[in-house]
Amino acid sequence: MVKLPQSETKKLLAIHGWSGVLLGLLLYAVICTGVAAVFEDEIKDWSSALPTRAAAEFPAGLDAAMRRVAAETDPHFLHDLSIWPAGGGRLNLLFHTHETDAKGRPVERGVEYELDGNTMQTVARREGRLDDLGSARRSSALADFLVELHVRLHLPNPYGLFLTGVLGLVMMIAAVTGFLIHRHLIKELFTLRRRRDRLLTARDAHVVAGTWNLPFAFILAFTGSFFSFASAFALPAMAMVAFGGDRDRMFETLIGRTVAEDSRAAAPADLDAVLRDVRQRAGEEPTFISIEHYGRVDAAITLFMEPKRGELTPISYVYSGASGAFLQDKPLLGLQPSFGGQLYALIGPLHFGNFAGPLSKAVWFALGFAGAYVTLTGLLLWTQRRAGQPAWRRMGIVVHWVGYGLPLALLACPYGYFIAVASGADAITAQAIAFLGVAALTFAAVLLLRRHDAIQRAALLASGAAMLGMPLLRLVCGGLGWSSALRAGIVVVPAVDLALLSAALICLLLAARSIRSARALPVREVRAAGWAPGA
Amino acid sequence: MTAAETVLPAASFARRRFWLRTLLAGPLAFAAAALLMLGGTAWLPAGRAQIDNLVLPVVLFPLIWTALFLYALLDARLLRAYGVIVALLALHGALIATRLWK
Amino acid sequence: MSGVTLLAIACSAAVLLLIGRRDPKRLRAAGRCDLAPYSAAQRRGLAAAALLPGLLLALAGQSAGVVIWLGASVALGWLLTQMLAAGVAGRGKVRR
Repeated sequence: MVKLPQSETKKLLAIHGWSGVLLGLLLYAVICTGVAAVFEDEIKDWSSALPTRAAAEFPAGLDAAMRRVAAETDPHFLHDLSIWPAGGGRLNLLFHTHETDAKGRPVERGVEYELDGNTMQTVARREGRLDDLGSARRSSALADFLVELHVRLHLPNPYGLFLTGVLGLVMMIAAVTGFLIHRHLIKELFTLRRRRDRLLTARDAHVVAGTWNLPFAFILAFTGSFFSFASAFALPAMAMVAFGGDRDRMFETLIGRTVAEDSRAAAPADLDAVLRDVRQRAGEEPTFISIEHYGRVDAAITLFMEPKRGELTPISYVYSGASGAFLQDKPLLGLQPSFGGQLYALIGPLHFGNFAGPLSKAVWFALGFAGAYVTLTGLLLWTQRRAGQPAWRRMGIVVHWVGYGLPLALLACPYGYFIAVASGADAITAQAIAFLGVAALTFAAVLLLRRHDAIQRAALLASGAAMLGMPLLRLVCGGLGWSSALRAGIVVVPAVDLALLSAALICLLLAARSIRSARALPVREVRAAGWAPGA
Repeated sequence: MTAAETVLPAASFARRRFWLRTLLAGPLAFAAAALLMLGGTAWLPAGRAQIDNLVLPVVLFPLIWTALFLYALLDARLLRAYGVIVALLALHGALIATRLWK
Repeated sequence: MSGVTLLAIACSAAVLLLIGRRDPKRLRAAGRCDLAPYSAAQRRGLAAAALLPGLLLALAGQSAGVVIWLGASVALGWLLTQMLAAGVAGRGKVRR
């Protein structure tokens, strides 16, 4: 499609391959966890569902609960308040304030209350630095473990974010160079040759998946890279250069101030009334509430809403936090619509695919899956082509280990989580043990099995078994049963169980088909399919 | 002149070019993209909401880096590629310096 | 919105299936002589037909619908390619 001189194509192919092979395994980990993280909210709901559920995520009675927990909180923290649905029918209320640490760096500390959204009773209370509060959230620990792996590979800030930002760039470079080197992009859109030449088959599998997925690979890489770099590096640097290091002033400029500063005390407005009003105005449900300067005359309540039906980008509504009067609706950034604000507002929906409920999430899941497939087939192709050299053969072992072991290790996390919840152990540690334990086991299995097709089959069988057992383990560890969940209107619990059982069935069927076709092949050909020496 | 004498300088020349190219596409392209992002706040229009000059460079940073990375690797004339990237670095470095020491 | 978007996705997927079944390069690679490949003009016409539902969604101002339609179409396009290849293999038409 794009006709380049042969030397340029060779150079681009080298960039495509080397950029992928150097960081491809980490990129694969980020994509795999991203695929699962598309259903972050559903995973939270499924893994820690409370037995009853309020009709709305921000139910009536929130105002009284907010005042009650505010009265229990050290006034030092009553500066800003964030409220959001925490999964499983819980609501988190986080009072927080800006401070500086011993080294003069800005830190946020606060008190977080986890409420049962139906009864409004406090389920848990946490206090400390905001960075540390996240790891203490037991109810959402399963989804948080996945998201942490996706966002920063469990590395400390800002290194993890920086690394995932670089991985996003690698993916963009691979997408752009892949587009440029493929001369017959449209002509070969449907060409998947199933010949006995394994390299040609592997090449077609990689190219076809990559071609179909090209536009979204670029979009997902670009938006992901933006999220990583913006918080790890771009915004702090911007604050330094354009605002003399004053981060608060930068955010105030970017977001826009709707209420003039007035630090006199004032009783907070009725939050229930504000919620009733915003639902009428927007016709949609809020996703997040932020109250700035809680208990002051200049308090402002910002309600971030779901995008309007058929639209991609959300807008927010601002109310006075003292009188409860509606002040204005505004874009996420700036007080009025702008090109930059609109571009920024698009990034979230395009990366998370959460703008139209289960339909958009299902599509994003499929696109992420395709991205993981492209990355793995690319790595396998690169190492299989060079399997004659010992170093690349060793790399081939690692690619097989990560490629097939990582999804399995991720499937082990819920086992660690449910057992930790039932036994009272630390949920994050239990998941880490399960993850690393299965990773070690799969490494041994890869060394033992040696052949690509045998490893693939074993991975399918093990994944199928893991997903089959997951709903059962959830129930055994005290999870909500289907009849109780359906009676309480909590559809997500049986829905996720059914999705897991269906995926397990597909894995087992594919494994059975692979076993049948392996039996049909002569022994000589099965041996030839290996990557390991002497296989 | 022996065969080894003719081959070795060519190999060392190619190796030097490789490392010079790597330096350009790696740290220098990243630094240029970062300075372009930060310096861009000074010359981009602020727009209706007075935020475009701040938002656009941050949002477009991954694209700027990708473009500079690929350009640094693909320009056949290494000296010209150095010229372009160093010029971007110098120009935006100066713009940032004037803002910092204003 | 979901209903209209699903309809648009189904229409495009059906057209993609038509294009894929008689894709010249695919048929040549699979050694299929029983199906006549589409000409370039036919392929262009069908490609336009596959894009039409997305265009209509865009004209109706359904920005979310357009993005979902595009994402679902490329994912289904990939799935259809896999299925067509598996079908060919299943009928023993693999070229040795």
